[in-house]
Parts: sequence; structure tokens; C-alpha cells
Amino acid sequence: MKKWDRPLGPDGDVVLGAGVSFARNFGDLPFPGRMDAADRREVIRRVRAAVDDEKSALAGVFRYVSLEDLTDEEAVSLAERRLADADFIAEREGRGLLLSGDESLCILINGEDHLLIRAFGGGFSLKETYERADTLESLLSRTLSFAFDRKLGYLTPNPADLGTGMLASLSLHLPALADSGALPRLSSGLFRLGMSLRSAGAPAKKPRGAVYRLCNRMTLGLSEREAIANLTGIGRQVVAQERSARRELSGSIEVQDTVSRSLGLLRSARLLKNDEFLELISLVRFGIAAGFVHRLEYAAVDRLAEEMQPATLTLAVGRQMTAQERWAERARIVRETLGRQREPGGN
Amino acid sequence: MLCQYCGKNPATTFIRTISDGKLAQVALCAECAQKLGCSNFFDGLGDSSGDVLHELFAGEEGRPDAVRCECCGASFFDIVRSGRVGCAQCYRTFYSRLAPIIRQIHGGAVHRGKAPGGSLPQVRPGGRLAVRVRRRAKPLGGRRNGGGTLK
Repeated sequence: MKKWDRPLGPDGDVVLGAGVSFARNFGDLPFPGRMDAADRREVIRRVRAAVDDEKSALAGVFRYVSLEDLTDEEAVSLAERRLADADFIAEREGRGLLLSGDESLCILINGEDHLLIRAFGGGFSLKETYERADTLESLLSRTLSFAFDRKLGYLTPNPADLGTGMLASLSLHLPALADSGALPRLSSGLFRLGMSLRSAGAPAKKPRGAVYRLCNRMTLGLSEREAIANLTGIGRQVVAQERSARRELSGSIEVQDTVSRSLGLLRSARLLKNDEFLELISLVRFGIAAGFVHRLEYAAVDRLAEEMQPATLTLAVGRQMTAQERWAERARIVRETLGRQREPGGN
Repeated sequence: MLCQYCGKNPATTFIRTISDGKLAQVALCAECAQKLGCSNFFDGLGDSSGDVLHELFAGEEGRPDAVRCECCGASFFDIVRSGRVGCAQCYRTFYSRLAPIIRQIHGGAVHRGKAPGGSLPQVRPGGRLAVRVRRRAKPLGGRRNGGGTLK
């Protein structure tokens, strides 16, 4: 998997990644909410035929995964890795996904829409990620006929997605803004500007790990490029605010102490529950940005954060574990990974 | 039960999430659900002054002669209850009743973005089911499809 080779770029201290998705549906079949098994099979057949076509530029790019064939861990791992959301994996029948080798391109089939065409990139690569998703959509639309209306745009089961059907998002690490309590007011302000800022994981006032998703909400009345430009502009402002909030914190010896203790815990704990791990690793990531933590790369931290997620970890280990075995395994891998990065003489 | 986000209002929506390696649910009130982008849009409208929704489908519930989409068999009540349109053809079948809702979400805007490739035939709004004819309640007395056109 080449995911961790994606460069984070100059904004990697705050921006973890970018994602762009397009919702597309066929005009001659019911939307997923009213499809029967035969309809579902037909949609899968059409989409697979479009990507498997030897003459197409898409040939060989994707492998197909049927949700019906997955174990519970495999399905949940898809959601932990942000390829699909909880709603998609909750119903397995007649659903599948097409995934590129490096998992940067993905097509979800028969979720809320017939197709959800997705691209992912590292850091603040919103424009490039949009272009990749757009190219994929264009290639698919050479052989697939998507429901479209001149006034309403691409037709979708959720009227809120009408128009471009595009959801563009930035994954942001905002520990300083979260700590300052500024986020609720910022969220409201952004909501009025047609954006949404919310926890990347389960909804929570203070999500573990302080990872948030900034998304556009408007799909009708503006072009895709305008929406991307808006999100880019707002994203830059949020990044600047987070950096400013971090500068205020990083001078404090108490904050430095908290970060050092977090790193110490991660390097020595024998049991690590996921919630605690996410909180500690978030502090360490902040520490890298603030300059207190050395010889540790953002990419190593982000990779660890994802790979230590419960279902993903269970899959990697290859056997069922009790909760405690999982905490022990997580702690072991974290000690090993961070130990390899230890400075000479210790810190 | 109370909203698990604000802890103040009664929960009206349950959204799915992943927690500790498993599928889980979070209970939210209407306000928080909307803030977090999880609301069934049609629910939210019921609270607005003027009660757009009630006017639109007053008395529609369960009527045997309710207009149904020819393509997917959905009635307008089905759409409101599920919060989702049944198929692309529904946008034509129920246009007059969906238009105020679309206006409420998107504010009278029209599409200004990408369109399917020029050389591709666009899906006609009257496109029929490709797979099979769905069983549906027949309109009594030969009543015609309601609503205006999409154009």
C-alpha cells in the first residue's frame, strides 16, 4: 500500500489529507432506497463492466470487493480507514466497492447513491485530488449514463446533493483550537458560509485525537471549481488559526511537559486502549509541529494512528483477540515503532 | 433518551458510527443532527414556520389513490417519510411538490457545474425501468401524474 508515501507538503502540520467524492446515479433504475436484489446486481454489473473494459483507461486499475464477502472486521476496517462510512458498511447485501491498488481511488456501489466516486490525497492537495476524482468521473461517464437535469444538475436520492453531487473535504488536526474552546463558534460561522466542520470520527464535542473534517455543503448554484476554491480559501484560514493557537500554547512549559509525558507513555505502556492512544498520539503530533518532538515524522504518526484502530489492528494480527490482548498488541507495536525513532541518549 | 451530543434536547435521530472496532449508534436531537450534517432533510422542514411539509402532503398519508412514480412506485409520502427521492423520474413526477423543498435547501439556485459529456445522450426524464416493472398501486379513476415538468 503506497498510501503512506503520499507527500504531506508544507501544510502537513495541520492538514492530514484531502478527499473529493462525486455522487452519481442511473436514470433508468430506482435509487438504492427502492432497489431490489436484481436492480443491485444490475448496477454492480454496469459499473464493473465500465472499469473492466480492456479498451478503457481504467482497465486493471481497480479490484472489486463485495461487501457480502467481508468479515465484520474487514468491513469495519474499511470505515476505520475512511474508505467508506458506517452507513455504507452497515448493510452488506448488494453493495460493493472498487479500489485502486494504492487505495487513493475508490468507487462505492449501491450505498446511498448508485455510485460514489472518490479520490484521496495527502496534505492540502485539494486541487489535485479534485482533478483525479473528476478525471475518474469523466472516464466512467464515457460508458455509463448518469441521471442529469439541466437545472437540477446530477440527480441524487438526497435532494441536498443535487447539482454537482460533490463532497470535498479536508482532514484537519486541530488540537489547539479544540483546547481553546473556539471550535463551536467557528463551526457555526463556517456553517453559515456553506461549509461544515465536524469531528472526523463519531460525533463528539471533543473528539479523541482532535481530527476534524472541513467540507463544502453547497452543491447547487456553484461550479465544482468554485466550491474547491471556496474550501481552499476557508481551509487556509482555519490552518492559520490553528497555527496561531498552537504558538500561544507551545511556549508553556506545562504543555511541553504534557507532550513529553505522552511520548513517554507511548514508549513504555504495556496496555493501550484506543481512546487513550488517540489522545496521546494527537499530543505527540502537536509536539512535532511545535518543535518539542524530534526525529519523528508526521507520516509515521498518521500511519500508526490508522493501523492501531481496533478492527484494522485485529486484521493485521490475523486472529481474534480479547480486548486486553488487543490493548497489549497495540502497546507493543507502538513501543516498537516509536523505539525505532528514539533519539540517541533518549529524551 | 437525550441527545448524546448536547445532552439537553430529546434525541430524534440515530446515526451510525464506528466505535471501538464495531458498528454503533449515536442518538442526536434535531438541532445537533443538522449541525453535524446528519439530518433527514425532510424532518427538519417540518419545524419551519409555515410548515411547508404539512401543506404539501396534508391528508396524503396512506391514500390508496396517491400519485405514484411510474418508474419506482414511490408516492410523495414515501419520499417524505424516508427523506429520499425514489428515482430520477420522481423529480419529474413530483416536481411541483419537491421544488419548494429544493428551494429551501439550495435557495433558488440552478446548476452551474459539470454536465455529462456532449457526445453522450443525456438520460431522458421519461426513461423507463430497465429491469422489471414494479408492482405499484394503480391510480383510481385514471388520475394523471401530478406536478409540472423539470424544464
